[in-house]
Amino acid sequence: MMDVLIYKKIFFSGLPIWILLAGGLIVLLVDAFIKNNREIVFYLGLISFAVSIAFVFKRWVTSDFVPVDFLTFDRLSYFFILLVMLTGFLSLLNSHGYLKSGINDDDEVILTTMPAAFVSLIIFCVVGQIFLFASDHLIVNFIGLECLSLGTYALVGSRRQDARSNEAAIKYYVTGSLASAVILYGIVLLYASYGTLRLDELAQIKSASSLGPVFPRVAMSLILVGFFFKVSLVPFHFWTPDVYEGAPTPVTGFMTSAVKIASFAFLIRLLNSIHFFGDQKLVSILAFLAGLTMVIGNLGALVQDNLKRMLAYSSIAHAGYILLGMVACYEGSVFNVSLAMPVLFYLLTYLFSVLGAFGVLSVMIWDKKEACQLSDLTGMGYTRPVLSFVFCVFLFSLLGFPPTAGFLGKYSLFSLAIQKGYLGLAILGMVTSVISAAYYIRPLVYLYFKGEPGRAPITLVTFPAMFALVFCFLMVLYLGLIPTTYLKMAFVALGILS
Amino acid sequence: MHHPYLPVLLIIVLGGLFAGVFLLASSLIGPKKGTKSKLSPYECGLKPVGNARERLDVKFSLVAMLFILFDIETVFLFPWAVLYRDFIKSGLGLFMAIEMGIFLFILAVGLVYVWRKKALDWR
Repeated sequence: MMDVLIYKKIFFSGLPIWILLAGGLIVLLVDAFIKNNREIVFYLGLISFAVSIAFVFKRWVTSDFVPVDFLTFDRLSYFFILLVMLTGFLSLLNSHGYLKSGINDDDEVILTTMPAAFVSLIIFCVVGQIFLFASDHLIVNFIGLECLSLGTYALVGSRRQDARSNEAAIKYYVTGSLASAVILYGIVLLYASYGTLRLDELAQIKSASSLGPVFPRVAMSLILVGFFFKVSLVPFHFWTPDVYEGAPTPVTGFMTSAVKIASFAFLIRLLNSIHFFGDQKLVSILAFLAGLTMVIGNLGALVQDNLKRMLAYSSIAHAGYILLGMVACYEGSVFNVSLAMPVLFYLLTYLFSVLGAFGVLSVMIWDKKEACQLSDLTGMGYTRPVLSFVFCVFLFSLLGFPPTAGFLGKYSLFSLAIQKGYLGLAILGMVTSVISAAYYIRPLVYLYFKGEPGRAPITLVTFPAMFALVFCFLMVLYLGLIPTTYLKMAFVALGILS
Repeated sequence: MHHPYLPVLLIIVLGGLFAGVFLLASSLIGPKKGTKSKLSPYECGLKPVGNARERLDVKFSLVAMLFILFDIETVFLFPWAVLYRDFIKSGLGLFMAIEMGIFLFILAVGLVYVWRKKALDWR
């Protein structure tokens, strides 16, 4: 009867996930039987996200942390579950205008999509993300990754009439499947070396593999390469600008935040368990990649005229900062997860800044297309003063300017790096941050100083989209000014405080 | 007590017998009106000789995807059915039945969705 108890625990610990899953299925059923269901499925999706977020909070307060088979519901998992659910919730809010803009007043089809499929795909992606990092078994992790990736491929191509969206979907699908295959091959080699795929068992292994030291090393490299592709670290970043540009704007926001958060959450879990790489080489490779990513991401963003491409390169650069934080968590060749607080906090601040920025881009429409060129912003600072101001705040937060959340995120990352002796990398990070100011401030110039107001794009600020923007705006300021609660939350997630 | 692999041998013999009898019977008493397509080698309905880079209707991949989906359902059902007696013995019978019920329900939702979305219609 012991087993039944364990399953009961899985049921109650995973309640947020099951609620979300049920919401996704109901959305599909509604789509099957009710026509013109755009608003119904949208609010159904929102409700299921809201209810599961409430349950995550409840479990966060009361959970008793009994490890269960395959799924690990510790506070670290709940922290990241909260993060990805928030990204799903906010991306859904952001996409309200996108789902609505199927047909304009002249009965012309402008941006066609299938609302129910879109909503359920976002939900299933989030469920996949949770399985990616809330499991101790590499096969379950991989299934979660695939669930996430397949959903994202479809979301990228969800604007079916648009050739660029289709192109982006195919590009992402072909390269992304290759990355998944590489990860799977790494997992297979790991199994060949040690005969287990449980992360907690792999963490206990002290002796070398009977197949020699090369096998596990190759395995780890393959897994890491695959995930570096998913989080678009240099030199695996080439797909990012094209895909981010072609995808519908709300989806791009979802990809920059959710996919990265889930992948980094998994990497924290993986590197925390697998020590047997056992030499400094891995750390120096990671450090090198972090530096390279910061430089190339920020330099690439300098020359972009398309806002989505610019934010794509900026997200590459941010992946570099996050990796810098992970590198700083290494003590010798052992990953010390209790140092990872800056990484967690940075992901939290990054989430709100980037989703806010993409939220602003999502509501702008120019000539029945997305308004994503820099020149589209001309004069918007006068026709849409509030929206422009909010956009600037999000950009400043991404840049890491003091009163905003991004500043504290970067500050804690760099100070950790300096404490741990990565002075050079930290300085490189700061220098590239300064460089990044050049492209984060360019939109401001277009908004306020390039003259003739009246040419600005139409904005479709629906109530849900406005809610998302206000929420992100308040969070960016709140995290920047009074971060104590959330810093404590990150510490609790790592088991330092209780 | 018979040999444990005797049933396998019986199936092989019976299978061979049936196949042989049917082939023989159809060649003896079946009508023989050969047309060009009937006489060509069987290739799932495709022309056996031609350009290998012919374009295929995208509907084929839709059907293939749906097939794999429901095929995997059966793959999961078989081991579950085989082990079900052990589940009952260890007191997990009802629980496992509910589990499989949930699994089938999720798949049924998928089936209803593709059905209502007319993904099964060949238009």
